[in-house]
Amino acid sequence: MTTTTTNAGNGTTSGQLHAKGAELRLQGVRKSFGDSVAVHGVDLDLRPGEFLTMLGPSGSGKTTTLNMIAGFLEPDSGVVTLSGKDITHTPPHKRDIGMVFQNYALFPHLSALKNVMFPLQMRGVDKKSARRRAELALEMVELSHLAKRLPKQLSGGQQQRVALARAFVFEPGLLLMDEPLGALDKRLRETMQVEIMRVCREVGSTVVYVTHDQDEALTMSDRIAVYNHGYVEQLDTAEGLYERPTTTFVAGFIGDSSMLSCQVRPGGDVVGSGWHTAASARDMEPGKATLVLRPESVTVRADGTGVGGCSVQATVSDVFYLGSHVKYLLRTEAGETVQAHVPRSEAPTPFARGASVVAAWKPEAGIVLAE
Amino acid sequence: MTSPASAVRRAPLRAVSGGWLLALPALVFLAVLFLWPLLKMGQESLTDGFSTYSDVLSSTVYRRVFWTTAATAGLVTSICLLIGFPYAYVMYRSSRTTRTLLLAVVLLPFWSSLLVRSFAWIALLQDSGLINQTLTGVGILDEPLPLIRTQLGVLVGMVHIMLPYMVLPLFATMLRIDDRLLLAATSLGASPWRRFVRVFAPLSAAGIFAGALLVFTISLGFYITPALLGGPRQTMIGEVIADEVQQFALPTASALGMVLLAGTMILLGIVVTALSRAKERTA
Amino acid sequence: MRTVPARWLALRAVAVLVGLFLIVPTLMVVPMSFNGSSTLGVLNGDWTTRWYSDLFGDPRWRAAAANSLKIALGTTALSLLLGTLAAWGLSKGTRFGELIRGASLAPVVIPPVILGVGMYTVLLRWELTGSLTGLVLAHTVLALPFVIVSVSASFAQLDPVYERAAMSLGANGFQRFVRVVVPLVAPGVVAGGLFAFVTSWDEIVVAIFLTDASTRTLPVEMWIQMRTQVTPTLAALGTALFALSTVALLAMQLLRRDES
Repeated sequence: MTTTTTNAGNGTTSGQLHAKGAELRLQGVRKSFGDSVAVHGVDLDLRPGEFLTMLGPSGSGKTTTLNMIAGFLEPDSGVVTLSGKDITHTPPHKRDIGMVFQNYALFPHLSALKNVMFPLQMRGVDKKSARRRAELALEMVELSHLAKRLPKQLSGGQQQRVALARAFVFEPGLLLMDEPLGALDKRLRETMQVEIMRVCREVGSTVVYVTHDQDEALTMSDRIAVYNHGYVEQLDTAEGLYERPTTTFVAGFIGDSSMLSCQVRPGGDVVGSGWHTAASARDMEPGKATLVLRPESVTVRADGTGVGGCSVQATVSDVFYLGSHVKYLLRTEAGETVQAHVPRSEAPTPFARGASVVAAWKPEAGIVLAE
Repeated sequence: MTSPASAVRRAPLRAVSGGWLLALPALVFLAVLFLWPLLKMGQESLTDGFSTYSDVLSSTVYRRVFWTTAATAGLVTSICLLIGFPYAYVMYRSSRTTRTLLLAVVLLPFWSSLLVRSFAWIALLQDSGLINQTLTGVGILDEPLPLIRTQLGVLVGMVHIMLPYMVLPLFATMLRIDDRLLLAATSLGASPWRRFVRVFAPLSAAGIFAGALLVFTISLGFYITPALLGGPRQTMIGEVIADEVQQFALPTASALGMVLLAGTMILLGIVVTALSRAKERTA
Repeated sequence: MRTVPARWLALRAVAVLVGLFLIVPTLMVVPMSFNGSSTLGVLNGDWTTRWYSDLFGDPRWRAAAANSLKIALGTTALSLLLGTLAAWGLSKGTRFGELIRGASLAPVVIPPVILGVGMYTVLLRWELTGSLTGLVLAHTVLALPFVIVSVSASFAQLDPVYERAAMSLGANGFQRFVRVVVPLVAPGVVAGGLFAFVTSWDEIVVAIFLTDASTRTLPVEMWIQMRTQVTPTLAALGTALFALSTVALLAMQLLRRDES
């Protein structure tokens, strides 16, 4: 509490609001409701000022994790520490964590300004400086001109901005956001993504952001925790998740991909139906596996001549012209689907539906994942 | 299968536990000023052992009062049902605006003081009242009709007060009737009358039952209206209890009160059970 | 098919008659209160406000009105305090919630005569009969269920996310209640307050048992007067009471509209 108050003093003089990004650590945090386990032991480690997104389908445990960080739920086991302090059993109002709720939860009886002043007044800040800082926060989200409006007189995007200002005005070390853009239409969502990133960077808080929208996660985050069935499947940067998915769920959830089933042979050879690569999975145990191919690493040719890497015979089952590139859906002889994105420059005369082709890729572009 | 997301919503949040503590002041208050008085009344009725009860229950005077009370409540209930059902039915079948108007007509007297309404009936029904004045004035009658201090006066006054308690549950039940059932009955060849008798009336049975028992139960405890609009022959148990208290015969008053309380509780028990059964059936 | 509209018309006629039966007698009090005839129920040609000046000029009525007002305000305050807290607690879903709710509603279904006797027995012992305090306590028992029902309805509509938001913004339990919960359930609280006020203001049976000559309320004074003779002054009083209830009912309807 005292740290933020001092921070606040500095912020006001410099005409900006600044928080000292907090370090957040979750160790073996677990939560179940009756018989169903919502979150299996989750470990997370956030650097000060980091923007982490929890991404996953609904019911995968990300919101439950968020509620445990906020203090609305108590974990069955495990420890939550914030800047080195154990807060596992601290009640929510003593945690100094800013939160933006799904549908904003702006107090309907208070104006935008009064909403933003609320957390300051709860901390005993006198009315005058609370007002000044709230005005500053509204300025940062470019809403000063609507300060006197009640929430119901504001549009969805404007309410979103007020909710954001209210969450960071007391300069918390950690900001939590629970699908904050879920209620907005697509265009507004994209504008707000940029806005939220800008404001978070200005304020400097550590951010935990929950969404089920992968584009949002890829755009905004330093790192992404992909949730599935109460587990964190993978925690990595956007690039890492895309280039090096460690599970087929992550591969399928982040970006487009084709999945071909295959066998890893002793020695590392990978054999699929109609294709194989030599010694590309040397460090894997022999057995059933899946080959993940990103569509842009697949090329489409009329025949197999001059193909250096791997290839499989296929038929074009659908062609889509997407401006910059052509998207093919190919069907292998084994009945598996391969997706390919070919730049227009490389495919001046695209193949037609039904054409017999060869799909080719470099061995290092294929990601082999054990079942 | 329960998804964790819905479980979060059901899961009690830490900071909102202990809600019963907030209800505690109200509960203590009711225990001291509601439950305790009733227990004290029970104790008071036993001051002279059970003899008060045997006196009360064997006395011809009180027996007559018990009978008058039950008969009056029964008559009020029948009249309320007779005129309340068509009213609720018209409400149910009317357009939105008419419905609101009809509802307001039921609610307005519901809100005005019982005493004022009994007063209005005195002004209308007494020998020098508006009705008798008008009737004698135009020469239809030579002598005023005995309207007040009669069974008629009590019934009119009580029906006026109890009618909303009949109409509201009836209307609520009718609203829950699925329109498609009535359409189905028509398509199966039922005439409007048969549709009403065979489909609509049975489906409103729960409301009829609830309304009737409610009206009957509340009527049993009436005091003000029969005292003002009835004569000595219309004395109901509520008046007797009040008189006994005024004569400081607390044990007798308490014993009579216990008898009335027992009757009320039994009837209410039946209403509550029947209503929860009806709810289960429709749910 | 011609018989169907005829039946419907007959039904509507019945409804209209019942409707008139419900409102006309109460409304008849209004012209009676302005009529010059000193015999109640006779309407002659001249109109006057004499009965109102009689009513407001009589110290007996004024004293009764003052008693009624004090008791009704006391009842409103006490039942709002107890009822709002209870409704808040019940809204959090406690284990015995249904039982507590049922128990708190019991006073509505018990005949007022019985409550009168019971409370008389107890308050007599505490030497609170014939006191305003005693009547405030008794009326609070009667008003509490209405407050709990009305405020509970508001709480049922209160999204718990607001309390959670306030919590995340640093508000402790007391701050949440005062700054967030109370403003949001205010319409229900005001409606409950109106209910409580009207319940006490109109209450007669328990008041008959618990008042003495110096603490008589308006209904008790009216009741005593009515048992001897009905005068046009009573019609004026009736009209005033009726007007008050109507205002309360309208206020409540407006609150409901606001809420939805």
